[in-house]
Amino acid sequence: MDQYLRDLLKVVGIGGAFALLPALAALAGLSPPWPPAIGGVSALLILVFSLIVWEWVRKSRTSHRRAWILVALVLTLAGLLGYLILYSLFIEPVPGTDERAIRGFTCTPDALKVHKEACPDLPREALEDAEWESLKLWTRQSVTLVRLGLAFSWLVFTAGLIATVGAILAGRRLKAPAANPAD
Amino acid sequence: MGMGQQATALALAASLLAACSADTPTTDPASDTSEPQAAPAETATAGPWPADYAAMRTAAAGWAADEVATEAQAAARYEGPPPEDFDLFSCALPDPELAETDPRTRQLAELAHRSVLMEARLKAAGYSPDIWGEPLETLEVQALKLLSGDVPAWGAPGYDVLEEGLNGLQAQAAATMELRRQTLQPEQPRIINEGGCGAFETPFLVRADPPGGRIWLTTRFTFQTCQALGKSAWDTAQCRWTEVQPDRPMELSGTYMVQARWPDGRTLRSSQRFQPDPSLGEDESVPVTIRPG
Repeated sequence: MDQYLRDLLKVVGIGGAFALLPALAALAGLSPPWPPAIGGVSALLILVFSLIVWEWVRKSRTSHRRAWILVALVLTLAGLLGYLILYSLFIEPVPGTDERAIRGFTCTPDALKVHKEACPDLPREALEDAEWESLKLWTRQSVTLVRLGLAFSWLVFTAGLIATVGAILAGRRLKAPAANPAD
Repeated sequence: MGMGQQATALALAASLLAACSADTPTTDPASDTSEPQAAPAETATAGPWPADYAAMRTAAAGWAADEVATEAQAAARYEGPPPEDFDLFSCALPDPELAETDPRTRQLAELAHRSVLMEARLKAAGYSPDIWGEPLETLEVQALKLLSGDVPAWGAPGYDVLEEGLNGLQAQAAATMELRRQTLQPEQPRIINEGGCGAFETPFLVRADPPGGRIWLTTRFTFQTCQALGKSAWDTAQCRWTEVQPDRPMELSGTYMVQARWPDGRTLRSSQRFQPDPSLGEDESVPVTIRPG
């Protein structure tokens, strides 16, 4: 039982430490600009994932744990790659503020009239001319899909990260078994 | 965003969920797809409101009437095709003195101003109270629930969540109104909640120098759209221009086309970039002076 609590505390502690990641990332301006509470959602997701990984992996065979680690690592890298690609393509920082505008990929009828063949890859000046209001230039549907893509890839990245670390640590003991022969 | 800020955001999200799921005496606009019910015209949004909120609504009536009159004047000058939609979202700003009050009072007063303005604009546009009465009251009841807890200041942690919640309520109200309009007044323009007054705006105090000049602004995108439609884009009657009200801050961001006229005949036509000044406080207006060309 002691070992059980120690393991639980260990994984929750690690999860809690990693829950700080979204906070640090938000400070660095890395987390997605939408939805507004993405930092809190990420922190919750990380805590939940740390418990799930602990529950499923703590008594697994080494080969099983390694499979978990591999899958989680692939998720982390895929999430990060997807997020960085989407971020580079669709995020535009607003000068003089900490805000970021999210682009879309289908122009509105008005934007098509003005920018014609430049659509949908409009220059930064187009956003500035439209009060940084993405929905004037791109359809709501396309902007929403980009928002969801950014949020999803970010959450895949954070979940994959904690799953990787959790799977590496969950099966290891803090003390040698001899210290707790009953376990 | 620090952990404390995240906790605040989470608490707000939880209160938002609680507010949305709580039993209310009114209909949930999102699920209201039933036939419109007969709503008493004069009592549709008459409350019962808390005393302080009722007083704010009363105080906002004059401001809303002025806004509707200004909107009507602009519509009368406009010579283009009639609008296809009625946007419930208005870019009109409540009294700038509200900025000096505490966050909760400010939010309550803004809600009162916006609600009274929505009611006045819907009335002026000829929509039946059967369409807007109950959805508007539901919006206010649920918004008051949202504002019954701690209210973060503008830009503080959790403010975005609150703002998103309030905007969501307005979008739901517009959707319900539109459903009712389709049955009750299909000939009237569609009711939408598009918004689009600009993102991440900063208050600018635009003044003419010498004083007495009249200034009009439009976004460069609106100007270009007007040109693309073959209209005379500098003509305030043909394209959507907003006249600057003296001593009244305007929320702006990005590049705008500016034109001004002075009583002595001098004019100005140019573009102007409005960018926030990080050295100013959150509620301070950035002064901009427009001079003849």
